Parts: sequence; C-alpha cells; structure tokens
Amino acid sequence: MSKKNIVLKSSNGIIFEVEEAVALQSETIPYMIEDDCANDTIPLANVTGDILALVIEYCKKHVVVADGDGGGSSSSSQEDLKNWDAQFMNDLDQSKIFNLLLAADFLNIKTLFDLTCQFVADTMIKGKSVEEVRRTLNIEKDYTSEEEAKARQENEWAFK
Amino acid sequence: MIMEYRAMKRVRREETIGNNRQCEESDKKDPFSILPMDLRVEILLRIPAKSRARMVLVSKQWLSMLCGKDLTNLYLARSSTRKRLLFAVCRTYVHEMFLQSISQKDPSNSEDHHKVNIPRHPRRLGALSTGELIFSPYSFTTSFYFISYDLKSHHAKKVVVEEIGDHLSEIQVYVDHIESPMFLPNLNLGFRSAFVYSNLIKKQETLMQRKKLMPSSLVATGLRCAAI
Repeated sequence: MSKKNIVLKSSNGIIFEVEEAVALQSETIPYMIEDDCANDTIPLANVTGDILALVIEYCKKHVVVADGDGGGSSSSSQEDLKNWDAQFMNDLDQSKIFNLLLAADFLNIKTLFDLTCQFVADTMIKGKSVEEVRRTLNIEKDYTSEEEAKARQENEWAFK
Repeated sequence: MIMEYRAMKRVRREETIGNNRQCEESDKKDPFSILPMDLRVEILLRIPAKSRARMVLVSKQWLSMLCGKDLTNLYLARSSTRKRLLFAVCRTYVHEMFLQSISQKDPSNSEDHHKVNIPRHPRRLGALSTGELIFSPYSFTTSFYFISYDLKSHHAKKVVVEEIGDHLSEIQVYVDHIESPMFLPNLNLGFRSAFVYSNLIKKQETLMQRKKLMPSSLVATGLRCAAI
C-alpha cells in the first residue's frame, strides 16, 4: 500500500506534510477533506505553526502502525507512550499548553485532548491552595473577605 | 446525523477563532479565561472532589462554573458508570455512624475506600437523582438538619435548615422533589410552610407560607397537600 501524504497549513502559513495515518488521528480533518475545502492543502485557520508542530509531533508518536500481520499495533509500548506524553507536556509553557488544548479540541484528537485537560487539572489546580491557583492562572480575587469566609465555611470539609 | 455533527463542529470552529484572538491579547492576564466554557468544565471535571470544592473560593466565576449545571450534569453522566458499594455502620450506644464507600469493580483496592463519619444516628430517607443519599435525624433538634452524602465525591454534608419550626414540629420529607429534598414542617398552629432545599443551588427557598397557597409543583409531583 502506498502511503498517502496530507498537507496541512497553519494559520500563519507554515506548511506541514504528514502521512495520512498521522493526520487522521484528528477527527476533524477527514471532514475537511470531504468538504472539499482542500484539494491539496488543508488550511487550519486557527492553529498557529508552533502549536501545529506540537500536535504533529504528538500524532506521529501515537500513530498506530498497521503491520503486515493484520492487527494494528502501536509503534511503542503503552508504558513508553505514557512516559513520552509526560515529558512532552512537561516541556511546554502555560500558554502553549492552553493553545494545544484549543487545537486538540478543534482538531478533535481525543487522546491529546484528554492528556492536556488532565495535565492542566493535575499540575495547575489539583492539590493546590486557592491562592496558588489564583497565582498560577493569574485570576483576580473578586470575593470580599466576608463572602470568602462564608464560602469557606460552606465548604469547610474541603479545607481539612 | 453526520450533517448535524458537521454543522456543530463548524460553529465551534468559529468560536475558537474568536477565542484564539483574545488569547494573544490577554495571555498574561488570565490564561484560563481564554478557554471556551466547555473546555474549562472539562478541566474542572478532572480534579478530585476535594480540590474542586476548595476551588469555589478562587473567584465568583469559578464558583458558578463549579456549581453550575454543565459540570454537575456531565459529572453525573460520567460517574454513573463507576458503581460503588456503600455500607452504613452504626454504633447504637455512641450515636455515631459512618458510611463506607467501596468501588464495586475493585473492592480490594483500599486506596479507593472512602469513609465518612456522620454525626448522630440518622434515618435514611432516600436517594436523589443527583446521586446523593439523604439522612435526617430521628428527633427534631433545635434546628432541623439533614445530611446529604454524595456517593460520587465521597463526602457528607450537613445542611442546617433554619427557621422551619421548633421542637414541636414534625417534618415530612419528600425526597427527590424537583431534584431536591423537600420539607413540610407541621406546626401546631394551623399554619404550614413548605420549603424546598435545592441541592444544585445549595440554598433553601420558601415555596409557601400561607394556608391556602398551593403551588402547582406540589400537586404535580403528587405530594399530599390535602391538609393544607
């Protein structure tokens, strides 16, 4: 079987050529091909080049290689993939992470979407104090001290 | 079906474009707020219950996201597949009780056991469609309270309902009335009032306080209101 390549174009005009199997991890791209909005190049109007590069890096790692012996097998073991995912996310700064999440959502790549959501939840919110979360995410406190005390009292169990 | 899906995706695409633009401008300000609401909900869903309850203090917007219907519904839809066992253990003489919730799938996983102490010796009244069990005390104390035990987040909450009667009052509770336990205090003064406690908005609301007002919702759910 000859390998078909798909050309993706980021919002800032950067071109990426990838194998079909890599691109098809996105559930949005098949519709775009079908929509005929792309003869050769699929324009991704809301994903910038740096983020698209990350998405492709992820998809290349996670592509399921269809072997000659019938069953599809992952190119890496589950354990390796998990470690790779962790490292992949750890290397990103906050702005990249949020933009990657938006891209994963738009391109509808379920595993990347789950990975990014979970990473944000685990590293920026889970187990943190309220003040830490406000600081990490740059959220302004809009409670008055009275309101804060009341809300704290209502959720007392969570602060123990 | 497919057409619908595509139409949906297209709308989302436009939304995201708008948000992307915003993102670059206010990147420094509040990166979380660049995300559309459904993505924020997705993230907050993935936080353990205890962290989630704490995070209502982050800001008022977080409070409304965390207590909002979107998150609640999605949470319940996803967690209804994770069935658990619940044991209620009472020690009669000490007036203590605890609930122990254990994963059905893997009961031996002790890390996934959750024990919650409940004050006194309540009677179980029933379960809400939102997955909470409702307990109330046998006798009416100075103020009426009930305990709502959330099977999914493994915590018990004591809710004191104020200003509904005194030690002479009887309280009938109808569980799962419009997503809420409902209290009908029976005062000996020929005067009744009905309260609905909404576990979604976490507050009580007065349904009626005069004799002859009978809200249609009571009739509709088949509550016995004949004596009013």
